[in-house]
Amino acid sequence: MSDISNGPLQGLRVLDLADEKAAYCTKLFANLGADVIKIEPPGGDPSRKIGPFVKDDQHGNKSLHWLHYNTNKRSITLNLQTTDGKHLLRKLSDNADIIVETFAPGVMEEMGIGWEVLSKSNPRLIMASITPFGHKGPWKNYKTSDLVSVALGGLLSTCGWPDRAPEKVGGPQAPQAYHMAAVQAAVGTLVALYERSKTRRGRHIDISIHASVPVNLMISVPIYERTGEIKKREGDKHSDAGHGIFACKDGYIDFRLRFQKWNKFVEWLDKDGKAGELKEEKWKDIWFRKEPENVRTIDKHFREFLLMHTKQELYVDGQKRGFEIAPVNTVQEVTESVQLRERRYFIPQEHPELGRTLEYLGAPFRMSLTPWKIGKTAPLAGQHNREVYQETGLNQTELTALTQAGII
Amino acid sequence: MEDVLPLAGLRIIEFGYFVAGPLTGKLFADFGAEVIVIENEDYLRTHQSSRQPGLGATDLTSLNQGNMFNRYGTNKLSLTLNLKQPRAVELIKQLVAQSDIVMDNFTPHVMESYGLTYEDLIKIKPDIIVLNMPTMGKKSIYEHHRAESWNLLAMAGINYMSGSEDSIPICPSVFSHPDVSCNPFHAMISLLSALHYRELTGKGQHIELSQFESTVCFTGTGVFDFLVNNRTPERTGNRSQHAAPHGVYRCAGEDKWCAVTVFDDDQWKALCLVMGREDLITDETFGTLLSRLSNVQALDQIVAGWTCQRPPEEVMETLQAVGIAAGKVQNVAELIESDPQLRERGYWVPIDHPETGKAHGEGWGFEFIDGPKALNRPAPLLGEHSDHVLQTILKLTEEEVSQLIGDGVIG
Repeated sequence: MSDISNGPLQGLRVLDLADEKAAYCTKLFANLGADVIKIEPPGGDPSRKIGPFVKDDQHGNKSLHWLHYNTNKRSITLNLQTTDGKHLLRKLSDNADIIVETFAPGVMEEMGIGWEVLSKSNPRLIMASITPFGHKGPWKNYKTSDLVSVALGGLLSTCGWPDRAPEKVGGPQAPQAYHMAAVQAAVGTLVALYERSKTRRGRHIDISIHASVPVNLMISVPIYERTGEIKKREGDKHSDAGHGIFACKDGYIDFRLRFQKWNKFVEWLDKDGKAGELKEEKWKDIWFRKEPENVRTIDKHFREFLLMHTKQELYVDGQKRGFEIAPVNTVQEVTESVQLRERRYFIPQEHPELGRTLEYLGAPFRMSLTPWKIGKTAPLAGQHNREVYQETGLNQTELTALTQAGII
Repeated sequence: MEDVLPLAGLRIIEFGYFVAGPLTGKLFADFGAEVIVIENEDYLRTHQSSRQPGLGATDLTSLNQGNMFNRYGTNKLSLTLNLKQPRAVELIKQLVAQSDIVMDNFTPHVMESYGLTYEDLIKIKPDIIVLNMPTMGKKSIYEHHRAESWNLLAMAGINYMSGSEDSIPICPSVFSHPDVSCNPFHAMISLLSALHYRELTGKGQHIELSQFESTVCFTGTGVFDFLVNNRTPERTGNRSQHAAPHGVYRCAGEDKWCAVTVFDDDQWKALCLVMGREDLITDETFGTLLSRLSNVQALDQIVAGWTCQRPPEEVMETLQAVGIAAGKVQNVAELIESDPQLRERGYWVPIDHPETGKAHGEGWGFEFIDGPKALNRPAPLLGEHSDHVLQTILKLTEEEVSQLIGDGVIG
C-alpha cells in the first residue's frame, strides 16, 4: 500500500488514464493525498519519453516530465486492447472514485469501458474526460497540441510582438493550455465530488482544452463588446504610463503603477532628480496622464531613473514605497529566490537510484491540517502490479499468466 | 435532482479584489453557493479597483460599470460595510458564524488589522475554512510585498521562458494571465479539497495560497530543468525540440496566422501531399525528423509559402482533414462571433446587467454531461444585497439597519 498520506483527498482512489494533456490534474490529486493509480501500457507510458531528461540520459525513469507529473502515484501496466485488460479495468473501476482520461471522444465507449458501462456498475464513479474540443461539435474529432490550443483559444493572439507571428507563453516546457485544462478538470471533478457527498451519485464531466483557454482573454471581452476594439499583442508597448517591462541597470523589472500612487511615484523619481516636469500640478490629473503623448513623457523620465539602479535595489525600494514591482527573473534567479528558499518552496527528494537528491517544485497552496505533499517519487512501470491486482482478486498464477500474455 | 446545483447550501464570504479572488468566488456562485462580497464605497472611490468604470462605461461616476467586477461577480451578493468600524467587524463575525468559507486576496496585514484572521474566526466557527491569497506568504522576507499578476509572471521566470532568443523578455501576454489561470484555479481546488475533508471529518482549516508560489507551479519542467540539470531552457518561440514543422505560419489576409504542428512520419507525408510537394516526403533535407529539425528555418519557409496563399480557416480544415493538429490564431472577436465549438458548448453565458446591458459572460472549461449548467445572474450593484443580508440572514430589524447606516457602519 502507498505511504500513509494525510492530504485532503486521502482515501479517494483515482484511476489515471490521462496523457500529457491532463498530467497536471492527476499530479494534483496525488499530491493532495489521493491514491492515484497510473495505468500504463505494458511497455511503459509514452510520456516517459518526453524530455528533457536527468543529465540527458534518455531512460524511461529519467524523463523530467515523468518525474514531475507522477509524484506520489502507484503504477500498474495494463493492455486495454485485450479482452482480459478491459475486464480488469472494469474491476478496477468498481472500486474507484474517480477516473481521469484523455482518450479521443467515443474511444472508451468503443472499447466497452465507457461511462455508461462503468457507472452502471459503480454509480458513485466520477469520470473526467479531457479532450481537445469536447465530446460534441464540428471539431470534436480534431487533433490538438498545446500550441494549437492556445492559438484557437484566443490566448496566442495577445502574446508577442505585433510585427511578427504571435509567440506562446511559457515555451515548450510549460504548456499553458494543458495546465489550464488540467486545473479545469480538477475543479470540475472536485465539484462533482462535493455534490456526491449529498447525492451519493457520480457524474461524467466533459473538459474541453479549447474551452479552457478563453478565460485568458479577461477584459478584452467586455472591451470588444462595448467598444469594438480587438485587443492584440503589443510587444513592449505600454498602453498606460508606468505599466510594463522596463530595462534597468542589470536587466528588467515589471512595474504596474496604480493611479493612487502617482504622488509617491513622482517622489521616487525625484530622489534622483528625474521627476522634472512631472512635479507640475497638471500631471496629477489621471485623464491627462492617459493621453498617449503624456504616457511617453512619463515613461521617458521613468526609464532614465531605472537605468541608474539594479533590479534588486528597485524591487526592495519600490516595494517599501508600496509599488507593484517585481524583478524579471531568469530561470536561475527563480531557483535562487531568497523568498522561495526561505519558504522552503522547493522540495528535495532522494533518488537512491540516481545517487543524488533532486529538488522539485513545491506546493501551489498550504493547508494547515492536510498538507499537499510530494510523497513518493514517480514509480517504475508496473511497480505496483502485484499489490493492486491482488486487491482485485487475482492470484499469483493468474498474474503471471497475464504478464506473459502481454495483458499486464 | 437536476434542479439542485452542486454547490447549493454553501455560504462564502469574499473579500476579493481585482481578479484572482473574485474568479475563485465565481466558481462557487455560478454553481449554486451563496457568495457574499464585502465592499466599501469610500475605499472604492479612492483606490484602483475592478469596480472603476472601464472602457465603454457610460457613466464615469458609477461603480457598477467596472468591466472586471461585472465579469467575475456573476451570481454574487454585495454587502457594503466600513470595516474600520468595530460594529462592522462584529457583523462580519455574525455572518461567519453561518458561513462555510471566508476568503481574501489581500496582503497579510489587512485581515489582521480587522481582527479577521483564521485564529480570530475559529473562535466563532471552529470548522470554518479560511483562504488567504497573499502575494508572497507569511513568515518570509518579502511577506508584505504586493504584486499585480504581471509581476508574478516576471518573478516566476515565465517571461524568460517565452518568446525567442533575439528579443527582450516582454510580458508574454497583454493580460495578467496568472490572475485567471494558476491562482484562482489552485484556490478553487484548495477550497473544494478542504470541503471534501470537512465532509469526512467535520474539520475546517486554514489555507494559504502564495500567488508567487502558485504561479511557479505552472512552469512545468522549465524551472525543474534548472534545478536538476543546471540548464536554462532555450527561448525557441513556437518551435519544438522534437517535432517539425511546429510553429505559427502567416496566412492570406491581414495579420492572419495558423498554428501547424506535425508529430510523426504519417503526418509529415500527409502535409507534403496536401502542399503538392510529394518530393519532400523522402527529400534529403526534410525527409526525416532529424533533417527537418536541423533545417527548420528553410522548412518553415516552405510551409509558410503554402499557408500564405490561403486563409487560416482553409489551412486548419485542410490539415485537420488529414489528421494534422492545426488551428488558426483566433482573436476575441472570432471567439465570440464565429467559433463553432464554443457556440455548440454554450461557452459564452448570456448575461444581462442593469447598467452595462447584455454581455458574453465567462464560461468554464468543464461541463457536466446531462448535468446542471452554471447560473447566469449578473454581478451585483454595489450594496445591492445589504438589506437582504442584514435583515434576512442576520435578522436585524429595519430600525437597526437605519441606525447602522447613520453611524457609517454600512456603506
